[in-house]
Amino acid sequence: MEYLPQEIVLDILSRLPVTSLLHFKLVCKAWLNTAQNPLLPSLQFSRMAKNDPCLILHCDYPIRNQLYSFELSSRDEDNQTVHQIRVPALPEFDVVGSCKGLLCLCDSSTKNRLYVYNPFTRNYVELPKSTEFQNQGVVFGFGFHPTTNKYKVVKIDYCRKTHGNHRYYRGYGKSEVQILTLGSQEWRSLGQVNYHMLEAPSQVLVNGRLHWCTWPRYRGPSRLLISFDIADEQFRVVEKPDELHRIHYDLVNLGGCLSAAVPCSSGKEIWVMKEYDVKESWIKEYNIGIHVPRGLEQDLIPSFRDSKFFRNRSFVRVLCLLKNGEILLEYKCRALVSYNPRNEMFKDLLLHGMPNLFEASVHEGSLSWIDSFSDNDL
Amino acid sequence: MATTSTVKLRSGDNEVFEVEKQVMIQSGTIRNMIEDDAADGEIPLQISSRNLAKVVEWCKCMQHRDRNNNNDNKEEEEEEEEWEKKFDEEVSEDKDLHFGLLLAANYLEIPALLHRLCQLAADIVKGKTPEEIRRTFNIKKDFTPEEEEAVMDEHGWAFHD
Repeated sequence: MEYLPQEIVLDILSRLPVTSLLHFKLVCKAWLNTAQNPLLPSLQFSRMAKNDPCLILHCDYPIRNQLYSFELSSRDEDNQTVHQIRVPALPEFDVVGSCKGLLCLCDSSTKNRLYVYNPFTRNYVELPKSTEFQNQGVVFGFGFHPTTNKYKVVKIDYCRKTHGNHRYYRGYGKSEVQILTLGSQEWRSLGQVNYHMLEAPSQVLVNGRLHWCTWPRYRGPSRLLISFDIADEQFRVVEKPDELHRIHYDLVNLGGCLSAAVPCSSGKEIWVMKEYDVKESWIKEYNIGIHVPRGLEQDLIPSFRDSKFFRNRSFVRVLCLLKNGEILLEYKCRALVSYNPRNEMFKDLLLHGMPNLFEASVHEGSLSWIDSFSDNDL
Repeated sequence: MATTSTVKLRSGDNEVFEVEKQVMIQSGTIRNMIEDDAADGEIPLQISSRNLAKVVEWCKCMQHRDRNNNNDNKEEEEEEEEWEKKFDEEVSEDKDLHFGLLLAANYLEIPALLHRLCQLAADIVKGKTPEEIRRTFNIKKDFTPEEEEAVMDEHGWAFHD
């Protein structure tokens, strides 16, 4: 490829999944140089909508803080391998979210140390500390806004109201919203928020806005669907169909549309908001039947039940929509399955080197350095 | 005055291709020449006759497809798909043709062809180990073991082997 013009080579490279780019760099010196062209990351992101993302599998058993990656775009029948990622020495972490090439991690115990980490360059930074509150419940969000080109981390602290000696929860009182723009040194306070967000396994980013469901309320309207705009930093209520009122569902980004996966007796129904923020555009688009993947037939090692992933988790989690129209599903943190809505067939993904128990995040792999993300702000 | 409906393209090895203008306006370069009335004689191109023939063939097929886009002729549709599949295979297996066409599509400014060829190149590299890539493209590894180690380390070789 040496004699092809640079712009053609960059075009080709921008179509490669991140693991192939890593391989590309190791071919020879000339290719290494090409792959380090600073224009590449933005070109690559511009194509990402056309490629399948990768999965980052976070595994905490038997060893904590393990991450694995699996490239969905280069999956083929015979060669499906999960790579273990070299993770920096960090305190035990939870994955807050993945967004445009970066993972946001927080330490599991205090929830007050946050890291932004690119698993493919092994490059990470610890973020400045936010103000800590006692006796709090914390909900995080990590997002990116395409027009402002900024990554932001939102942290909502809820002070727990206790009722006499009962540890039984009586709702939350005061809340405090703090926000950090990646690259800046200080958290800013956004004051109170009157919605009590449910901490999901990962918040859902659609159209530059993060989304959460709220806890059901004792009085008044039932669960709300709340968005937070990464650019104007406002919370808003997102209208949803009446069918989604008094039920529990997981939010998911399906092909760029905000969607709600609702458990039902026949499996899972998926509602999709076809046009953002248009209540009438919600439709029940998929009905995923019941399936027991091969990986779940074996009994679970009892100590797995201690894993933090195992608690409060739906049996089936909808991960993403693949470019071939299939939907990727995670079953009880133990199996990955692709579902084809056209013929309603399930296919278990049997991958070499897959950890036994994991939490999957959909991730757009990139070789950008974190420095280059925050340059604008410094 | 541009009166004729065809354009003559002369390849680098002096073969002349006479093609309908309607077909060749997919090329930005040639479209400009036609619009500037500079295409009445022959257009000399630094592209080999083999590669130019392939480009012309591709443009004809695409134009045919676009023209027929609205009628539901299943048979023709299948034929075109078959042709494209053969095109992809031929290009993927012949590195010189692939690279020659990439350069030609770039020079002639045919975005759809360039896009397709770049995607084919990416598909060839995708999923291959560095050693397999070297074998595919006849590339000599010019890293010493120490340098290779350094690249893996500094440039984010993120994986445990």
